[in-house]
Amino acid sequence: MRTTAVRFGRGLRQARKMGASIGGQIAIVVVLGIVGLVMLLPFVNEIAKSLSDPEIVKRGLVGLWPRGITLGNYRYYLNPEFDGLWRAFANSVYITAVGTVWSVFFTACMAYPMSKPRHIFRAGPALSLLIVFAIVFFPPMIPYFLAVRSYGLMNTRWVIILAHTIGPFYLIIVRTFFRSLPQELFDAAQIDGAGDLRQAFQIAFPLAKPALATIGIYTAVLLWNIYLHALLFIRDPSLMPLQPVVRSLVATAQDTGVVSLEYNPFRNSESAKSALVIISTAPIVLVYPLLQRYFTKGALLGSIKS
Amino acid sequence: MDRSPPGATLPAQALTKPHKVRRTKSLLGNIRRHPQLYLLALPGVLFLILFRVVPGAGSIIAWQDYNIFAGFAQSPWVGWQNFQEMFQNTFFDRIFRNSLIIGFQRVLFSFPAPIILALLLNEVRNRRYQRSIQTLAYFPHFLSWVIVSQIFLNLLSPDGGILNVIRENLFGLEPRFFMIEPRVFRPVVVISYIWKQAGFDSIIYLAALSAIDPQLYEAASIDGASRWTQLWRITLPSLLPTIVTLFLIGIGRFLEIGFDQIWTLSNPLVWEVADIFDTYVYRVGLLEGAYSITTAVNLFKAALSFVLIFFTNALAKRTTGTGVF
Repeated sequence: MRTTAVRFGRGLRQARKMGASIGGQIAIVVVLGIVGLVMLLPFVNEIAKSLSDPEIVKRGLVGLWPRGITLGNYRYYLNPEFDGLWRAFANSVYITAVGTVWSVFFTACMAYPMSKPRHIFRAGPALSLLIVFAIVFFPPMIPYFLAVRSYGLMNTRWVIILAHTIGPFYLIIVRTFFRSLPQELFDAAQIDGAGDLRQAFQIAFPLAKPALATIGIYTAVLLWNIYLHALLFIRDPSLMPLQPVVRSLVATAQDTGVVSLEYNPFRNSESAKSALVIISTAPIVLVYPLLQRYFTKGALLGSIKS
Repeated sequence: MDRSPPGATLPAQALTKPHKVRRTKSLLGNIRRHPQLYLLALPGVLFLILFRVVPGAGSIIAWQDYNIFAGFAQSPWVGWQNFQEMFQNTFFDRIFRNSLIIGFQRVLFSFPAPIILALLLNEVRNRRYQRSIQTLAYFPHFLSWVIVSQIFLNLLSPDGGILNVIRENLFGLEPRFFMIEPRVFRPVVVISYIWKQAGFDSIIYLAALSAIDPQLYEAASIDGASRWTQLWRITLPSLLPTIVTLFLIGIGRFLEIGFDQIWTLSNPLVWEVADIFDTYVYRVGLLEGAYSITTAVNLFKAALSFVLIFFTNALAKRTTGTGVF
C-alpha cells in the first residue's frame, strides 16, 4: 500500500513525465465523479423524500431536494404502534455486541491450538479438515432448522449468537496470524512456567489484537445485517432483530396496506419508507469511520489467504 | 512403560527414541500433555458438530417421507422417491433455470466492474479525491440486502420513485410499476449487486496493483511507452493472475446467489423469473412444510455447487499455479 501512496503523492507533473496526458487525467476524474454520484445520489434522494410531504412525493415532485418540508415521516415512527421497531434496534444492538465478543473469543480460542505444529497439538490436521468442510458445505436449510430447533433455541436472541460462534474463514485468518508469531515467545513463557492457557491469553491474544479487531468488524456487520437466520428461528415479534422488522414494515405497506380507521397521511407512504431507510442506515454511517480503519486490512488478509 | 519404577532409569528412558515417538503419536498422550490446548479448541469443535455436522447428517430426510411427529428415527424411508419427484416437478425447471441465469448474469456482468474501478482509482493523482470516491464506493457493502433492496424499490417505485419522476417530467410518460415487470427483475438484481459490491471488491485489485514494481513503469516511460501502452503491456498482464483466480472463484460460487437479495427484491408477480433454489426451499419447505422434497432440492444444489467449486479450483491451479485451497 505504501508504494501506491508514494506513487499517488507525486502529483500531476510526475504523471505527465510518465506518459499520462492531462486530458486522460481529466477523463478519469470525471468518470470517477460519476461513480461517486451514482453511489451518493440514491441516499440524497431518500433523504429528500424522507423530509418531504407524502402527497408531494406521491405526485412525483421530489428529486434531490425536499419539498413541503416536514419531520412527520420520522415522527410517524414514534407512534406506539412502532414500538417493535425500536425494540428491534435494541435486539440488534444486543445480538451484535454480545455476538461479536462471543464469536471473536471462541474463534481465537480454537485458532490458537490449531496454529501449533503437529507434535504439540496432534488434532490440528483433523480440525483443519473440519474447518474446510465447514467452508465448502453449509447444511441444507430444513435439516439445519430442525436440528437447531431440537436444541431448544427457537425464539431466543441467543440462537443467532450461537449459530455464529465460529466463522470458519475468519478462523483461518487468525490461525495464520498466530503462526506468524515467533515460537521463541512461547518457549520463553513455557520456561517461566506459563501453561498453554496463559500463553494463549497473555501472549498470543494481545498480540493478535489487530487481526481480532478486523474479524470482529466483519462479524459485527454480519450480525447487524442478519436476516434469514432471524426468519428461520425467531417468531416472537418482541425478539426480532432490525432487518426482518424493517422488511416487514415496508413489505406490509407495499403489498397489503394496513387497514386503520384513523387517517394518517404518512401511513404506507413512500416518504415514510424513505425515512425508514434513513433510520436504519444511520447507525452504519455513524460507525463507518471505525469500520474503514479495519476493513481494508481485513480484505487484504483475506486475499493473502487466497 | 508408564509403570516402570521411578528413579535412575527414567531420564534415560525419556531420552530413548521409541519413548518419544510413542508420546507424540498417541492422541491420548497428547491430550494428557496439553490438556489446555484441547480445552481451548473444545467450544469451537462443539459448535461445528452441533451447527454443521449434525444438520448435515440430518440431510437424510431427503431419503425419507419426513414427518415432524415421527422425527428422524421413525419417519419411513422412501429411497430416491423425493429426488424423482423433484425432477418431475414443474417448479424444478423454473428454479433451476432461474438460479443458473441469475447466477451467470451476476458473475459475468458484475465481474468487470471492480477491475475497471480499481484501474481508474489507481490512475488518479489527487489522493484526497481518490479517498473520497473510495469512501463512497465501499459504503453500501456494509448495508443489509433489506436496506439496499428497499433503496432500489424506492428508486423504481411508481409513487414518486426518482426514475418515474424523471420519465414524467422530462418525457411526459405515465409512471410504471417496474418491480412487477418480469423483464425488469434480473437487470435490477445485477445492477443492485454491482452498486453494493463493486466498490468493496475493488480493494483486492487495488492491492494487486500496488504490488506491481514501479520500476517497470519507469523503464517503460523512458522507452517512450504511453500511459495506454503501459496499461496493456504492464498493468493488465500483472493483474491477470488475480483476475483469473477471482473469475474462477466467481464461477465456482455462482449458484450461491444468496437468499436475502432475491427475497427482498422480488414479489409474487415476478417469482416466475426470480425464484431460485434458496427462496424456493424457504417458501415451500419452511413456510409450507414440504420438508423432505425441499431438502432433496437443497442437496442437489449443494452437490452441484461442490462439483463446480472443485472443478474451478482445479482449473485455477492449472492456469495460475495456485488454487483457492
